[in-house]
Amino acid sequence: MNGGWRPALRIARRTVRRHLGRSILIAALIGVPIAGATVMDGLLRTMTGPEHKAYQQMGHADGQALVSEHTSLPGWQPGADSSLGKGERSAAAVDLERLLPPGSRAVPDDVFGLLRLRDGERIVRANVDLVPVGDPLTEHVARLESGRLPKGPDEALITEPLAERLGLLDGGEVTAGATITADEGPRVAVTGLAVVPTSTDWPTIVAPPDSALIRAPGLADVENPQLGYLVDLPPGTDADALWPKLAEQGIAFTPRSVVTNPERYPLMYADDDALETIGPVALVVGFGMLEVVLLAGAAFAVGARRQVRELGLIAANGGTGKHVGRTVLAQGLALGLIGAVAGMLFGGLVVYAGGPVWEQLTGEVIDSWRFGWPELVVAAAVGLLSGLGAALLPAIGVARMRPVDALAQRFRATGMRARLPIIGVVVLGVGVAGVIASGVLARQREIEFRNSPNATNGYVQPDLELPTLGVLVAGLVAVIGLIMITSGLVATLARGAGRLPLSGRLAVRDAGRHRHRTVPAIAAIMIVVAGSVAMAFMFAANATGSVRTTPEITLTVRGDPVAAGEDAETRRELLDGTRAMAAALPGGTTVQVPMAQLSDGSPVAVGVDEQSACSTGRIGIADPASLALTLGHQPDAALLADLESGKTIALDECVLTNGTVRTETYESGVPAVELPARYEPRPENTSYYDLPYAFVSAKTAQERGWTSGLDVVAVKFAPSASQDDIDKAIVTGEDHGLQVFNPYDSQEEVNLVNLALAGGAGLVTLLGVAVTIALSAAESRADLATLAAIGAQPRRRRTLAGAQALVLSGVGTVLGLVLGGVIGFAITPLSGELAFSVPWSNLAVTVLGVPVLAVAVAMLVTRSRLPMVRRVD
Amino acid sequence: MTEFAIELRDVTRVHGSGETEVSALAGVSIGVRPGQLVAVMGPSGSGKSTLLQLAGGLDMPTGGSVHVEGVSLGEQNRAGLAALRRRSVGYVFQDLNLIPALTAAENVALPRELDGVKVKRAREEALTALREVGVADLADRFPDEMSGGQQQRVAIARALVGPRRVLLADEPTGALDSYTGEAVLKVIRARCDAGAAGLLVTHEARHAAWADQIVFLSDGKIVDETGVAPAADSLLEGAS
Repeated sequence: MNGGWRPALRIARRTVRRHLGRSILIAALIGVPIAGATVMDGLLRTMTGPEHKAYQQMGHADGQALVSEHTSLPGWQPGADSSLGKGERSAAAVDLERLLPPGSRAVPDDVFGLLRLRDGERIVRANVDLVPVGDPLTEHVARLESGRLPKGPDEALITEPLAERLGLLDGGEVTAGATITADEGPRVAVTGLAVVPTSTDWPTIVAPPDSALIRAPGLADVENPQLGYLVDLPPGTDADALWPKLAEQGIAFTPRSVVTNPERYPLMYADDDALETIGPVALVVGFGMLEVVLLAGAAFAVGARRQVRELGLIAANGGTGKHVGRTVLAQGLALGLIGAVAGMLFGGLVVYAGGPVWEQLTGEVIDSWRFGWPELVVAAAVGLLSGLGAALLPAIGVARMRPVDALAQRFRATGMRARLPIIGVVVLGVGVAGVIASGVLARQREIEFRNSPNATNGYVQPDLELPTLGVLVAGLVAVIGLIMITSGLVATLARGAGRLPLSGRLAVRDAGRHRHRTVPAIAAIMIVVAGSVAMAFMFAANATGSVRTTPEITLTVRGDPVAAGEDAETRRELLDGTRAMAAALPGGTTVQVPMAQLSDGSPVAVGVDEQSACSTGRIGIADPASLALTLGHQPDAALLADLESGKTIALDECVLTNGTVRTETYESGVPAVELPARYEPRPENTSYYDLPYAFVSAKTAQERGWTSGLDVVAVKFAPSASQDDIDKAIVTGEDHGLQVFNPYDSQEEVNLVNLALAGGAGLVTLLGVAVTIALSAAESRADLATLAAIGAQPRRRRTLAGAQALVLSGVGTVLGLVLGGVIGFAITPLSGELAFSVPWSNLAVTVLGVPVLAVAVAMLVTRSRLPMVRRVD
Repeated sequence: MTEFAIELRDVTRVHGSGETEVSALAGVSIGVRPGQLVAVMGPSGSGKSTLLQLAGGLDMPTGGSVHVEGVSLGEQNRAGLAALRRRSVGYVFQDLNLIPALTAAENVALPRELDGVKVKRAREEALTALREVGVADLADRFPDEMSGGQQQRVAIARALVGPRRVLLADEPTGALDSYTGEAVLKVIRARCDAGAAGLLVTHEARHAAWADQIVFLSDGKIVDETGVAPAADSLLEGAS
């Protein structure tokens, strides 16, 4: 090893140990993102991917066999349609095991269904899995958790969520003598609790394949001409040689490798989602590591300053600039390695130790964990590079110092420092121009695409590759330019600090004198705020342009698809249930939404081409209440007149073609109809979930031979309803066997995303402020001691910390806001939206809330006692 | 070949320019032969430390020239100056001489390791140098485990390890008590008697008394000097 690196690594190793606090800080800054990446990798590798899919589909079986009613399936191959149709034999009469290689085993595959249970006056809907539970081949479907396995058709297991719902839980076990009764169906005894590994939070009944429950309405109606089996083959069997032979016997056999290696089968599509996410993930990881480098870089800069005399000694003893620089870089290497390894270990620990939490969050049982070692090695390498990156600029700085200045601990301003802000202005200008130009180009291309014939083709997207690349590259250039300017900006602020009160004056001048630590922290805050603001602009535009926004005062309710009896009974249940829901809500009322259907009850919908990007939905029969609900306002005279004249009112311009809409039914054989139509724009914030896409008048429906069906009722209520009221109403609806759709959920998701964005910005700001204030406290002990000596009150230290936090977070937030707004303008059309909407609430939280929080936290965690130490260490 | 191990010829050092111009040294000429110890005395701000920095190539003169073992420092680039400091010139400062993360032996071996010498050989040379100053038993101790005097001895060992033969000492006893300071000067004297050339900056006359020649600086100029004292045995020759 070169003579220069050996002493450098030795000094680095021991310096890391000697300055444990700073070393832990830097290692933690590097390690935490690595830990996060490790956790994500463990979760993704375990919960997604071909092996997981294969387990979900067929457990540990070597394949799935579908025994059809046909004596042969010529041309069938894995990946083909699994609905094999009626044939000439009985599938139940086929002895599958006789057709498999000797030593094979076949057990009936899971038959899934939905069932209504009657619990007194309540209807409780549950999933049903009919499967030989207890067999090793079916453990992926259901497992016994407590009690005993069912022994006959009159017994079943239930899951804990269902047991809770039915009040059959007693100290973690099912109550003795518990039974469940299908609505207008048989009763069976409950012998224990089951767990469904792939969906632990669903109310489910697990029963043998010959369970009495198959006579219940909902299950009895299901016709299934084919029988499914899970197959275990003897070791060494070539499954790919087996399926053609079985196909000749009328059996569709899907080997496990169809799921684990789909690319080997012509009819299967390999899941390349991973490729599509690499770009955004790389971007997030890249900017994340930039944050780490900046924050850790501040700590390294302080360390290098404190160590400058030692570095001067190296120079005095014959060390060149390279030797001196290596001494700092070696610390970056050491801490990068420690951070990377510690991060991976910690992440692994979080994965293993947090098993119950992950199971609850994912709703799945996790038997074992899988990690992707290639990407973990990459993550570790990135961690190592982050350490080196953080140490790079401080290393270059000390390497360029004159030995005499290093020995005297004298830091001179270089010519480059003076020129940097000027170069930064140019770089920033180039970057901003690039971002804006990319945004304009993106807008142009989006508009051109919308006006092109491909606009309604769901398989064609606008060409946004160049503007996307432009935003990425120019954005990065703009960030670099702003970082270069920040040093000059802070210096300028420091020069003008004379008029500020004492703490503010000290804080601003401290920031100016110690730009080696304040500029990286400000840059880190600026980048995360810019990212948060840019994303907020994009989400605001998406919300404005979305056709799925819903008012917060409506629940839409559907009847139960497995309801017993005639339509009249389903209708009665729907009306009774929604009336009960409305009664449970302040100002609650119901609005019936009649839909067009054929005489046999088949729904009539708006027709779109197979390749169309348009969405489709039901056609409603107009009445004043449902029109007002869907449009968000009372229909005007012109609209009513158009309806009367026989026109269809389409609520999505996409489905109109030359002034007409096409209708279709789900009943094949009934020809499509073209109706004259016009577009009626819906205002923002109108309910659209499960409501009609178009309206015809009752007269038009009658002329077409359509009848009015009632599938959907909306429940409206006053804005004063609390979340508790809404939850109770939803439970009331479900107790009546209804399906309730809550628009709050999607709005909550949007709110959560905005909260996460602001929270992320706040967290990094707090981190940057905390790191810098801690470093400042370490560097400023002598100055603080002087303050104490001249009689400053102890609380002065707190106000000084608060002022420092305000300088860092304030400057970083303002710069981030400006940059984020520019980038937000550019990336909005990249997400397919042209509307530019300002996210005022998010901006207010970020611009005001984040600095205020930073100041408050800085003051709270700073001790008020001033140090009484001698000025010279 | 010059007779001097280190020679400053009419050296000038000016800091700043215009109104802020300060003349730290003005036309100073000093030569130190192998085996000789020259002391430089003067009040604060007289240019003593500047003289020492110029002598070892840590700083460059504005005028004149500096020669170390016949090599003109003005003709060297930064790499050349660094090589000179590794192989020819050693510094001892008032305090904070040693790198806290290295043991005594490692501190002494540092210039040799920086020069590419293998660890084993560098350590052997370091132990030899430590023995010569009487602190070989401290080889594996860290600086914070040693007294001030012991640290200064280790610094002297480092200054003269391997091929180094020029010792530049800037107030090496300034942070020590008088007894320890005397002991350190004794070591420096002994190394010079063994062949090293020493340039010692001090403001204490009793420490300067260990030198063969004393030069007095004031405001960057030599204002007086004692001349070279004769060797002790020549005094005895004169007496007999």
